[in-house]
Amino acid sequence: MHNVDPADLKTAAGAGVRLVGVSKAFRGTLAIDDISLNIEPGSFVSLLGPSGSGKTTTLNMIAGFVTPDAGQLLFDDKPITDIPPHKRNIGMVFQSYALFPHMTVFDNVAYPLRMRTKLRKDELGERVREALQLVRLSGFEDRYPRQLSGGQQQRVSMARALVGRPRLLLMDEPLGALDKKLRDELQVEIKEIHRKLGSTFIYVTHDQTEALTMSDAVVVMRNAQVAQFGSPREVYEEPENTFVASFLGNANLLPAKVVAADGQGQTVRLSNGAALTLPSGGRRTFIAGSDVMLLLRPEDLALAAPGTADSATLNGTLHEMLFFGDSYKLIVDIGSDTLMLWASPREIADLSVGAPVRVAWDAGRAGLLPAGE
Amino acid sequence: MNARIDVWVLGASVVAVLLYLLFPIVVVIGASFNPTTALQFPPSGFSLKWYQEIAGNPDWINAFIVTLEVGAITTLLSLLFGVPAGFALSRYRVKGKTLVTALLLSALVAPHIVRAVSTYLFYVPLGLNNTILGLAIAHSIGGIPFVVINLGASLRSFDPTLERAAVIHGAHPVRAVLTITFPVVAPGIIVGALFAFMQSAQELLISIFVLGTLQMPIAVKLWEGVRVAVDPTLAAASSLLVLAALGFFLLAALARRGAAPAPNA
Ligand SMILES: Nc1ncnc2c1ncn2[C@@H]1O[C@H](COP(=O)(O)OP(=O)(O)O)[C@@H](O)[C@H]1O
Ligand SMILES: [Mg+2]
Repeated sequence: MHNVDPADLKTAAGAGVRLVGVSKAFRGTLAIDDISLNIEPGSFVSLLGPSGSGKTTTLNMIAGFVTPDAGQLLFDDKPITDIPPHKRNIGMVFQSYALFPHMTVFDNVAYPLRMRTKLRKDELGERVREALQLVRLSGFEDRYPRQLSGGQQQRVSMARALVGRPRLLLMDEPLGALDKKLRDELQVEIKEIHRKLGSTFIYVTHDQTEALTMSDAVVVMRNAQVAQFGSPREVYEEPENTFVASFLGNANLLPAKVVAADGQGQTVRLSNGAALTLPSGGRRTFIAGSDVMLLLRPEDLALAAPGTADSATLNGTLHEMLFFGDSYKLIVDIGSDTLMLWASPREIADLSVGAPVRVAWDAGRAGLLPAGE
Repeated sequence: MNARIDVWVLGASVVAVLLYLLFPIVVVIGASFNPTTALQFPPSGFSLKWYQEIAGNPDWINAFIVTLEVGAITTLLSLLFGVPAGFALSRYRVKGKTLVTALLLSALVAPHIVRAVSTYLFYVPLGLNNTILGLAIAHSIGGIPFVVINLGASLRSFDPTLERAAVIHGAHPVRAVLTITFPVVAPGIIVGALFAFMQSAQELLISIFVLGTLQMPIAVKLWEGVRVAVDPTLAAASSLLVLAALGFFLLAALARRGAAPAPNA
């Protein structure tokens, strides 16, 4: 059996993780369905998806708590499926913190070192203090977990996961139990720690903002499968399907039919009869006659001045307007479809619900997605 | 207005129930301080002479020692079998789990006289009658369920991710159980052990059958005393038992408090 040499922990260069056609079923139901992923050494990768989509199972499989039914798991191109979790040299942070209640902060953080190394007492103390400093919790060594706030407990949990300088750190919704303000704070800190250490971080979350802001790459999961794997900008700006488009941020998805497709671009007709032309280039192309979904992000839409005659505008009726302080959220009926967009209070002026409005759209930023899924 | 009446009725019933439950104990403790040989309540004065009588009487001292010996071995045996059984029953899907649990708990409800007679008959060919070990083995049948039940309760509230956290950070699964699970559920085991000891210390019928009257634990000695001559030494010895039981409950409560997850600061 292969065991990772503790000496190369010190290098702390991130481990590459590869899943090849991995599947896992629990009592006949697939929790992971033929997933393949290539996670770059040293990257920060988020597993993002709704509850029950298989994120935790994937993470637990990388940890070794779950044995795959099929497929292969590789660390740095070495198969690791047969190596038990305690020999994988991984750090892990749990949503419930999972601190040992009968141990002080010091002993909690020292635990991995005591299990994995034969460090002298002073070296051990040095490493523990270093790890606590990294998570900005120096001076808490003698406290017990129950004497700490949720945020402090999660910091201890991170120090414990990092003290052994693992080349791979797994985090399962580590901020899920914390309030918004603390979450924002810790997101920044986790990101900084990642940059400092250079280890590979795999981060599970169901919060799309968290995934987009923190990650180098996002794995969007749905129904035990990978819906899309790409950089935050890719998954946001070039979603491959309507699920990814609507799971990340706000998305206006309008059913449309491709009426013409040539070198110039693709022209689609909406259900209200309006025709829109998207310039060619980069985007997915469909043959004429295909049923598609037109993706328009709210931030690529704007109210158009009344009277302007432009092919890049849609006529509609203001259905609802909601005041958000710095802006209004507008719901506009376009035939049987609706569009959501933001407008500044200044733009609203004397608009009222029921008024005819014109919405300008940015053809270069619109997307076409296969209909149905 | 109605709410006030409810509170009064509730308070009055609580006091009444407590008085009812505590009455025998109060009477026994009170009678133990009686300066005369009469076993009477309220006592006609205050004297510790019956306690001195016990302290100076080798028969009573011996009875305490026998009770301690039987209790200690009972506790040990109950832990030896109860801890692995408790782990197995709450951690693994054991075949016939319901049956095993029911059998274990049956020791708690089986009439003591039945257990006493059958133990005696069972011990005759084994030569275990009239031995401390024999009585301890018989008592551990009643002690094991307490360990299993209390450990089971602790394990049910134990967060299994703690064990995962230990394993992923380098602990062999066995070591994770020893360094994390055991210390965390220890209060449950301690409470079970205390209960196992207490049920041994107060058990009468099996003790009479198995130990006869050559060596007498406290319970048997008290029983003999009641039959022969009633005087306040019995009350004093009983009071000491009550005191010990109180001490044990206090320990159990402390152990439980150590186990309870403390609120976040
Ligand atoms: N140990 C298990 N036993 C049975 N079913 C499980 C187990 N773990 C996960 N599942 C099931 O697998 C699916 C994926 O779960 P999970 O990976 O926890 O999703 P997520 O973390 O994305 O919410 C769910 O339907 C869940 O009920
Ligand atoms: Mg999960």
